[in-house]
Amino acid sequence: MILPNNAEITGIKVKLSEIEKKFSDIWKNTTGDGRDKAVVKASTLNLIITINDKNQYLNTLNLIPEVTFHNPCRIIMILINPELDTERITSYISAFCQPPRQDGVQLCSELITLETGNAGINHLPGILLPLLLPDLPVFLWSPNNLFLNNFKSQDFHKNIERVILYSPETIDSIDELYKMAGYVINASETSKISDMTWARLTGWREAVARFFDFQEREQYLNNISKISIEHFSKAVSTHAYLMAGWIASRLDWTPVNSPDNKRHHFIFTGPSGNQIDLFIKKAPSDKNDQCLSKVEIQSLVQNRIITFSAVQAKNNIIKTIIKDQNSEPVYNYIQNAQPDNARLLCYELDFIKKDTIYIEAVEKIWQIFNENKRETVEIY
Amino acid sequence: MEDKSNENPLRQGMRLIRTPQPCTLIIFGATGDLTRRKLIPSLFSLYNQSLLPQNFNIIAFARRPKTTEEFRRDMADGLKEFSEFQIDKNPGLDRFLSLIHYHRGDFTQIETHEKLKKFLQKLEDKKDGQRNRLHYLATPPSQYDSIIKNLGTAQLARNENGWTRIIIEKPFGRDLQSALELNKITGDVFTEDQIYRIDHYLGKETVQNILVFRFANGIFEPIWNRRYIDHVQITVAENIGVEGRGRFFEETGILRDIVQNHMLQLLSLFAMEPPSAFDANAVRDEKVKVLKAISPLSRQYIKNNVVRGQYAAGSLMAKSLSGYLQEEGIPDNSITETYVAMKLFIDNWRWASVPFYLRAGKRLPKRVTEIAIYFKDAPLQIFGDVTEGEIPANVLTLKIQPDEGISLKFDSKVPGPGGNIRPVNMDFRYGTSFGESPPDAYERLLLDAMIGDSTLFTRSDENEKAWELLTPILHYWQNNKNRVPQYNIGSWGPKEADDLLNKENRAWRRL
Ligand SMILES: NC(=O)c1ccc[n+]([C@@H]2O[C@H](COP(=O)([O-])OP(=O)(O)OC[C@H]3O[C@@H](n4cnc5c(N)ncnc54)[C@H](OP(=O)(O)O)[C@@H]3O)[C@@H](O)[C@H]2O)c1
Repeated sequence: MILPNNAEITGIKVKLSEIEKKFSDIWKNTTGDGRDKAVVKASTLNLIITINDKNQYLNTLNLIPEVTFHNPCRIIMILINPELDTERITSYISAFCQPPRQDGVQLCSELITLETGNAGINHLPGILLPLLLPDLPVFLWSPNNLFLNNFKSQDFHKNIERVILYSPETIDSIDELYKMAGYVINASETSKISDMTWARLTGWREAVARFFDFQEREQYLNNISKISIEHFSKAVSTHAYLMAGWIASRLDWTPVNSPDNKRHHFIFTGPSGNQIDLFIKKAPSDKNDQCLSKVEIQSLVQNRIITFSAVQAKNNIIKTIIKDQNSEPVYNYIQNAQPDNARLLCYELDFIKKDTIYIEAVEKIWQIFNENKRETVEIY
Repeated sequence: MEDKSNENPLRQGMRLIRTPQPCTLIIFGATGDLTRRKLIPSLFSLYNQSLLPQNFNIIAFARRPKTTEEFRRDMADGLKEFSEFQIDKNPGLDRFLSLIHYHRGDFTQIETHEKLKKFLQKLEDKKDGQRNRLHYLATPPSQYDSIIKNLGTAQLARNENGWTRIIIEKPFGRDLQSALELNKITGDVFTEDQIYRIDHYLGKETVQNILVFRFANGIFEPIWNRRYIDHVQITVAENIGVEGRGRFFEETGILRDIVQNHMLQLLSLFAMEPPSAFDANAVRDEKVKVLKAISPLSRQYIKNNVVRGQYAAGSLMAKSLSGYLQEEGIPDNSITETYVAMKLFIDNWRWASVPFYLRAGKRLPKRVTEIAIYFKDAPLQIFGDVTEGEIPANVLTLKIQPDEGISLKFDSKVPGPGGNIRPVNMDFRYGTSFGESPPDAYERLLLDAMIGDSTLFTRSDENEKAWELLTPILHYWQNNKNRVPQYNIGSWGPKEADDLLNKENRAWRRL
């Protein structure tokens, strides 16, 4: 950082109306006219981050060096401090510079922090729009979905290319999951939405997709009779439901009313009218890991049962096993390194297009519960 | 086994860079320079990014006696020198090295290939029994013939339980005749879709970006033709000399080393028509069409439009350097060119009568590769004070190395009461838009070959067409033993190269 950290919030306090001027003073002093000097202010996008507690503020601040290394950008961090009983907005600016590269160039990014109380939320859209760098994509990262809860302004929505959520990996009730699904579907009408929880599933999706990369396995895909998805979560596992929604949407399955009011067992019909039983369960072992422990798919082809299992093994590896009654099992291994939040965020910032696969998976979750509309129950 | 992954509904929208299926890479010539400097560091980098498949093995095949342990130690030393990753205390290093197995033998003997096969099967049986194999010929081209034939005889060119592919390093032949022979030898043993001819230029992000730049941006394609473009200059300049590889270079020359592959690749990517899809055959079909459309070079044409040169002793960056003829291993009467410049025309609807000037050379003032597009002047000169022709042309430059980026030169008014006009540059630099540096070309290409994507590899017809175009120049020079024009080290080439453009009222870009 090239500015002193003399406040609890990183950066120097400036008046809202002076943010741009102060930045331009900083850059003039450090980079001259911005050409052929070692320090270069670089921006490829605008990133708005909304948070509402101080701990989260510090955690988020720690991600900034890595995020700005991969995507030099202007970050506008909004801290809605519930302890502040004010609608006043206090602003701070600072600059993050990377260590000099081999060619001596040092890339720097800008950080603006806006702090306010709950009462200040309504003012934010009118403050944010003028602060965005023109003509560069705008991403909004809302680790606690604060944005979706609070910013209803259409004008503001229109200006955001992509909203990055972090839907809780684990939530307390099916009701919340259902709400989350409805929420994503609604928001996806105006913004492109992505979810870091979904990104965490990538290795699992890869493992399952790989089973069916060869044409001769297509018949197995069309004749799936049973799926079971196991997770480590103590409550409702968003990962497990997203996995289920993804498979069901890709394979065009329709949910039908299921008899199980505990929500462990769901029934679908496939495109050819076949029935598929889907089970979502907690793994027998406890592990401090919110993701999945196993996905097992059974296909019934000409009275033969073939089982495709992907199992979490040690060292971030997913072990896959194909068992056919008539031959020896085939094993394979897929690396499933769990990226940290900074990596996941960078990964999301690389995409601008709509992730329709994710939205369709969420829609399927919504359909599942809509079909099973009876009173929702708490589980685990 | 056919890879039908594109049709898998679960693959749709998968954002992950695809990881290859389990496979074994067999490096022929593993004690050589290429393996140590490029292949192993690239593989280590892929390993660190979790991009190598699980159950991956490397068999290092070369002639000198060595144990696997010794070879692994050599590679660890090489990594210290050439890897971008921290080596000391890297917990992944030992795990990576344990994937490597040394296999000793002589390429010319069938027994060593038979032994290789047994060794491979044993390794494969220990994992999942899949026999996906990627042969990498990192040897001098003189060895290709025996390796390929022996792979065929030992039945290592295909198998029931997996795919087999072969990567061949350039040069793919010395002229049209030898290229046809090499294609025949490889074609007798492997099918074209198994063969991956590597030209590492195509693995460079900035080279691939030529296609993105052209076909993803609506504003450039409409002006990418003879109506707006006056001429194009493609430069591949090196400041180094033959660097201890004099004997190799003496047999090769810059036309074979740079123009036949890298430069014609740049030219065809620049000039091709939009492919119907971004897949291996659609892209390569369009590239070949460009080469086919280049007017054949007659003796008379070569005499007037192709210039060669040799660097003469001089000084560069305060270092006195000897000329080409004084380099070790170079005969006094050598006529091998260290510089070439030429003018080409592409006879098609889009490019008719637009000259493409190409130049490549060693010991030029700096290392730079770029394509510069000169646009035609504005139709009418309305600024009274400035006479026609004085306003410099707009130039769009695609910079390939070392400062990857794109820049546009246009004219602007000098501030003040006068009417002066001066050119200014608008620069886009990769380095300031994307913080991280792009992966090494070999990393990308090794991964593509393991995945089975041959878009960035040279197809046999492309290679043959390139030789067909340039072989008349080689013949002309062979029959014309005049002294090769000299140029001073640190200059931009011989006077004859300047004349080539000056006589048409144009000039090379000063870089
Ligand atoms: N070096 C580069 O940076 C570079 C760049 C682009 C392209 N290339 C191309 O890559 C290829 C390899 O280049 P290089 O520089 O690595 O070559 P190199 O250093 O000369 O290595 C040759 C390798 O081939 C082995 N070899 C030769 N004859 C053999 C035989 N009869 N049986 C078994 N092994 C034999 C040698 O093994 P022993 O030493 O154990 O005998 C050595 O491992 C060439 O086609 C070159 O044009 C190289």
